[in-house]
Amino acid sequence: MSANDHEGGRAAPLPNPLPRPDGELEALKRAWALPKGWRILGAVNNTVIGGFYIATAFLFFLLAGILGLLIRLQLAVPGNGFLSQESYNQIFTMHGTVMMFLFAVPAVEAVGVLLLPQMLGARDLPFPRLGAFAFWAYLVGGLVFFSTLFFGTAPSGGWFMYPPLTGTRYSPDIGADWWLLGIGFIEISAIAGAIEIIVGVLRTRAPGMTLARMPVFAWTMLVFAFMVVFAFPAVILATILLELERAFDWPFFIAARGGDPLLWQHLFWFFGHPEVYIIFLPAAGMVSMIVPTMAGTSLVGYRLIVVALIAVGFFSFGLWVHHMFATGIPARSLGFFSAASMAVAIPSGIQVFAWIATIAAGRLRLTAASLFVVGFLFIFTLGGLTGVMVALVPFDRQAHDTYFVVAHLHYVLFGGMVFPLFAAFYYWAPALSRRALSERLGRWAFGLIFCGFNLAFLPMHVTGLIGMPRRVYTYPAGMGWDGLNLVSTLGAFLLAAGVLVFLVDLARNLRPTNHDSAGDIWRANTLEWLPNHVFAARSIPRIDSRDPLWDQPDLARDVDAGRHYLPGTATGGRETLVTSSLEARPGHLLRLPGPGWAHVFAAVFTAGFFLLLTVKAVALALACGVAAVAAMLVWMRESDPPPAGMVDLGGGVAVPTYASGPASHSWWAVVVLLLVAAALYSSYLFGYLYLWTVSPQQWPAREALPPLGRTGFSLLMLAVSAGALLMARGLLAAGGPRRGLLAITVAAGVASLLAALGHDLWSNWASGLRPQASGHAALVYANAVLQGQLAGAVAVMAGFALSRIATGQVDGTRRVVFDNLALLWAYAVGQGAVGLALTQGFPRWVAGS
Amino acid sequence: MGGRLMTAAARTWRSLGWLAGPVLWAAVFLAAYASEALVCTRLERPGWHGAIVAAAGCIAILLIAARLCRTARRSEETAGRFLARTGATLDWLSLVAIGWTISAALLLPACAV
Repeated sequence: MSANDHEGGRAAPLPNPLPRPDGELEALKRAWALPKGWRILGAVNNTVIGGFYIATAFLFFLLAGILGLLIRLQLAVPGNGFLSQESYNQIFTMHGTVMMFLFAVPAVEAVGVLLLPQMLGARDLPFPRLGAFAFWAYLVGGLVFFSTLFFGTAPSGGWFMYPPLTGTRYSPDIGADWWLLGIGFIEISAIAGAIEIIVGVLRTRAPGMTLARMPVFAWTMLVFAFMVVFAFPAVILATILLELERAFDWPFFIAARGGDPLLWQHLFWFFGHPEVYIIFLPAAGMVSMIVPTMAGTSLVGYRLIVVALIAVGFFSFGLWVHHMFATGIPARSLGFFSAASMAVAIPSGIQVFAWIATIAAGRLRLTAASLFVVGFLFIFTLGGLTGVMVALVPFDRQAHDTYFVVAHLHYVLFGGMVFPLFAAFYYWAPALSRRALSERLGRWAFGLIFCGFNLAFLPMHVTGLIGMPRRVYTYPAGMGWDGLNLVSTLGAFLLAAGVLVFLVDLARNLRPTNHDSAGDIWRANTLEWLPNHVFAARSIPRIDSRDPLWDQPDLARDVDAGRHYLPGTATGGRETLVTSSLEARPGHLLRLPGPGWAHVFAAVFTAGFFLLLTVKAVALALACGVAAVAAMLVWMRESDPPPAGMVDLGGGVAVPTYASGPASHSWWAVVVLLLVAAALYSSYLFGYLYLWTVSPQQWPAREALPPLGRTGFSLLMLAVSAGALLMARGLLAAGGPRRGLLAITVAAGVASLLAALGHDLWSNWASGLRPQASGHAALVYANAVLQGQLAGAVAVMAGFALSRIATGQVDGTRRVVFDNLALLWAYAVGQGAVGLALTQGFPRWVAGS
Repeated sequence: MGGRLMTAAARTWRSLGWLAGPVLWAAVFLAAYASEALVCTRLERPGWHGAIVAAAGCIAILLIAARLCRTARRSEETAGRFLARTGATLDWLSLVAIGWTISAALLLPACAV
């Protein structure tokens, strides 16, 4: 394979001839028209939602940045009384939390939502309303969460919220609850975005865009999204457990009652360390897009970069104890994590060398975007090197909880994510705005930010090495820290001045548009630089190389003239093309939903449910929960439209308008959702076995367990549920007038699933087990909580499917609603069986061994 | 039903088999870490741990080596070539990572804090 895998020399005729029929373009515009005025809030186009998303993420960056300045003001001089201890604790907790959860992850997800469809040659992402729902949930939840600071009720236990400090004993107020319910909920929104990105990248690429030709940014977003799927459930489980402990006294993390505070650290850092790469990888993807354009040459080592991304995605999950070297874990285990830390350095290094090689192979134009990339390379490499230092156990024990770690993490995160994000603003602004950003202001912004950053954080390495601990709100004079802290504060304000210059540039030059952007002023190589409209590119391009705009010189003109696939709307509505996951062969036409309000209300009510629970307004919270489910059902009403025959894309390619099973995009989404559920439950399994290793005395004797017969009855109910599922599948496949029997089978099967859960709960309760009794008992009931939320979701989906069956909207062909239910239902039966084996079988087994 | 499951498994392997290297690394890593917790806290037999890590590591190395040999013998067909080569490079990286995991077991005593 050549470096670029370009099928040069082939001159296949283009799919559609000119001139295009009258009215084709107008129909396309009508289908994708944006709502006017304030109704724009109901829009679902990726360009609108992506813009909202980025603006909101940047707002949180500014807010958290202001908190950072307050921290630096407080620490500027010794013995400072500018902030009280409690205010300082709330501010540094919110600074870290907002930067990580409300800025960094949403910002990279936002760039994905904004750019991916255009970059992949799609009209939009495959679940526009899900994307919009994720945004609105994040906006409402994030703003409410941030505003707790103004009422003095913000969390104050650090962004990692370690118990026992965050348990009710030491944090009796509601600050910790805001964090647990607010952030836990926002993580769900991140997962929704990740599902959309995975399906979008794998199933909506332009014909010909095989995995080998996919832009590196799409690869990074794919790896990012899978990492979110596997990492976030661990912290979601941790937040559920800690909130259950705080609200109902279930002692998961209370050592005196068979819990263990270190369980939180394991769960948190199983998410927390991959989180660093979750933030970094998309930023690295942006760099991999900017460098080739600015250097005017193809990316060197494309395949090695893909290897590096995937390797980082895997290896980063073997680093979580990296943050727990000082907790008394056996030395050999620490060695395993130290070794994994070394292993992850190799693929990270591959990427850095590939960028340097690309710069060396071409001729780098020193634009503002390039400057930010160079700044990123310098700062991130330094952060990576100090990362290798803290991955060494003996050094980490010296540097742990000192300002050295603060310096390291800012070099990695600010250098690795914020610099590329600024580069991305300068690079992609012309694709999305009528005017490019100012190069002059960009250079000023870069200079101030680069100098300010290094002035602020380079001295912190020394401050830490000479002993200044993290998270102290003040310090005495004469420790040797005074001058270094003052310099850091001056640097922070210099950095802020750079951000201010950038804001001025945005205000003066950024004019978002979806039809008359400044265009491809950099002579770039990828599809987002095609002429774009409200419906993305006029026609969906057929590509045959990794750098299509360089290798197919007439591509932009031909695509905009409508000579490629689907130059109009085949069904009169919004559509995009679904292609195969590996080779990107046309599969079927996906009809997309337009603007609406149900998803907005669903997001607001979902936020209301979680946030009202925080302030113990239970009745109101439940009302919001019911309203959220109702809004989701309304939102789903338009889903799964009936087949509309075959449609012609041009060039003799005709595709169906309906697909079910693995061909369907929603099947893929549900499979990814099941991966999330499995990751959540695996985290629970880890927690259960972990507590068993540290507090085995809490595990009951055989005679204290519910009788085997009761467990057998629960298993029988699960088996009945599984049988009903198989029977329903058979009925649907057989077709014919059996709607009533199908509905009864589905209802009975789901009732059996709920009965198994209810019987297991009763069985534990009747045997005298109470969740407050011990860590073990709490875990048994936590299993019921996890199974309950899953069974609840199955029940809601079954209700929806029953309504569809009753109205004749489900049959042997039009069966996506049933297929989705069946996937979740089968998983719920399986998880229920594993749960019974764990909570009833495992104690018997270890009691007998 | 059994046939369908076999087909699904074969299809999954064709689609995701190229990720076998890092998955095997993850399995070795998990076995090494989890078994030390069990060996030290429940079984109190530190001597077993080295054998467990060595066995898990050797099995993974053999599997990866077999995959690499098969990839090298495969004809250069277009479809899947990119993924096959990407998988082979991932295999080599995983071998390094597995080697480092085993080296921790060789150099450090089990169950010592």
